[in-house]
Amino acid sequence: MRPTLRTALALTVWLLAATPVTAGRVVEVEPYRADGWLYVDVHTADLLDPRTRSTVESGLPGHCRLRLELRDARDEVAVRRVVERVLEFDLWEGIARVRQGASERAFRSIDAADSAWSHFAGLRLLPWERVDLDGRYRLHVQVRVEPFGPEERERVSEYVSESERGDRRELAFDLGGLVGRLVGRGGTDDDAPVWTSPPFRPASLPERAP
Amino acid sequence: MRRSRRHSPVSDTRAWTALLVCLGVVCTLVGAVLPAAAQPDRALRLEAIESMPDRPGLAPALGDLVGLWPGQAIDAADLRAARRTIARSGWYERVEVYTRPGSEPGTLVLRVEGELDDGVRLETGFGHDPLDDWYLNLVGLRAHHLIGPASTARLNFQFGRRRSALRLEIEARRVGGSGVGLLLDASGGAEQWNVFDDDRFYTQEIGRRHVHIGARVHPTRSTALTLWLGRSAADPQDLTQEEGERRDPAPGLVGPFGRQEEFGDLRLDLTLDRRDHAQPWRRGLWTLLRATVSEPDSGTTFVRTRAALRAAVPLPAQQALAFRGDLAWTDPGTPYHLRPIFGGQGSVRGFRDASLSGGRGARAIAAASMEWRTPLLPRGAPDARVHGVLFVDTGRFVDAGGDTGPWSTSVGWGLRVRLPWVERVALDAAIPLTPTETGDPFWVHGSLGFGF
Repeated sequence: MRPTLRTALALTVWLLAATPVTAGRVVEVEPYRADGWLYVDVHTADLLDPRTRSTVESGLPGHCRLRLELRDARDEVAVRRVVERVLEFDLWEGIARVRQGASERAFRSIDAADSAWSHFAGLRLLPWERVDLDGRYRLHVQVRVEPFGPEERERVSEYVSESERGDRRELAFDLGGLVGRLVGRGGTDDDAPVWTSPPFRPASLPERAP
Repeated sequence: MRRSRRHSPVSDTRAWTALLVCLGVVCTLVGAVLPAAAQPDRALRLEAIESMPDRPGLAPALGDLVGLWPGQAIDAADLRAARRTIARSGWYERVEVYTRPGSEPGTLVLRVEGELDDGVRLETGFGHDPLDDWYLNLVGLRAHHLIGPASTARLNFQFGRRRSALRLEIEARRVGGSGVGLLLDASGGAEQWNVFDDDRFYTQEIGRRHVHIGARVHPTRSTALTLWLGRSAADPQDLTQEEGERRDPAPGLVGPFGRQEEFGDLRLDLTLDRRDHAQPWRRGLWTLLRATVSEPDSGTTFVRTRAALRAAVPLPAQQALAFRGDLAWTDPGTPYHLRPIFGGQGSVRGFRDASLSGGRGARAIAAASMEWRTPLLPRGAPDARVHGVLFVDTGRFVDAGGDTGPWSTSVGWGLRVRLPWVERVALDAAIPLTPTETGDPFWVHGSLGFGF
């Protein structure tokens, strides 16, 4: 079996076994060498959870954020990439669009667009000369999908609440929740799960076009 | 003190009443015109709000909370702001906010799914009221949905720059699915009354307590009418000298006052809220018209009125021009410690708090501010971490004796910094352009939020 196929198959099987049945599954991560760089393709599935699909069908955008980290044998981050995509449906023209940065692709249906926005191809990670060919690397992948798009500002703790009455505005910090968190009772971050690949050796990766 | 010319109380009353009425008319007209001009073409429109779990009155209360109503044109930015407001309201343990297609193309239904948080929370925090300045909720208890969906009950030890009190507030929104909300506001504590006399600075502690019950209705989507009824009491203490050469306070510096003054109160608030949901500091309008009638247990009935305007107009590159206007009038029988004060954060920022209106308060005030707001870090960002502001404040007042003071004006600059937990904090430095009572060359104020 060729190294490419072997590596991809191993990563695919491992990820399928490790992935819980939730929206935004990572089903295949395929690292390879191309043009003097280390690249990776990421295939995901079920990005459009029912709530985000419903939102897109109503004419508002769904947003996907893929966060990728290449970690070395000491578990230090060698490189980090973030890719953001927006899927929206034009109710008046009946066209679904996937936007990533300045580029945009149009599709006849939401299903067709869903298939396209689930595949993240040609993500450039590191110049090949900076890669330790015999080192062991892992990829950490995190996918977050949400209706309307991401918050413009950073997420603030779940222990902060905000109220507004008339022109009065209050911020409250939940002391009980914070204390509970500190002593280990209750309170969890609901961040998207992180999928970790099995280790791979760059020397065994195939070379192909991105 | 400056003394220009005397006015008769009757002509003063008519002039201030006319000003209040004019401000109300202008605000209503501007509020009616602004949203019509902002309607986009081919806009998505909100058909309904659905709540899971579905409790009577919860869906319309959510609409009140996020300022969305059926028929309104909305976009993704509105819904991100709504999601943020709902998530941070404390009404839910966890909440999902999304939309589904409505019954006609171009319409949509906002769905809010989550587990209601009906536990009692121990909390601390901050608050800001443009009419009463910022305060600290040192420690308190809060519970939602106790007396119906979307109700809130709170008990807090509040400390402000001039106030401290134990305060209980209960708000039952949309009672029984109706359009009426019921309110209770009770507190007991003390207020500091500032008195300046040349280079001497005195403070007077005034014990205060009140119990008010209220009812709120929404005559239109963006207006609220609140009627308050209840009792209040004030207990002025002796003056304490804080600064300057030791000397007993001059007769008539404050007061007259007795011990344990008690009042029956009736108050009517009419608010118009057309602030933008996504960028309230950059666009929108908020106004308040308030009339309070109080009847002391001994003495004659007195009336106080208040009008406030906060407006912001967007400029290119995420900049904004913001305006603040305040008018207040009290009739001559009003106790001094219930009169408006002039000078400081809430009026003319180049002066110390209450330093212009004197120890007996102002019979009437008029103040206006204009503030240019620009994002500094990052430059041109829609929700920048740091904003810079340049402002000019001006205003004048009628003192307790009925004399109209000169215009007082200050200019200044400030920063608005967005912090992860505390949200925005404001720091302003202002220079008085007109004579001061205290001789300070500049004054610095801090507050929460954008200030106004």
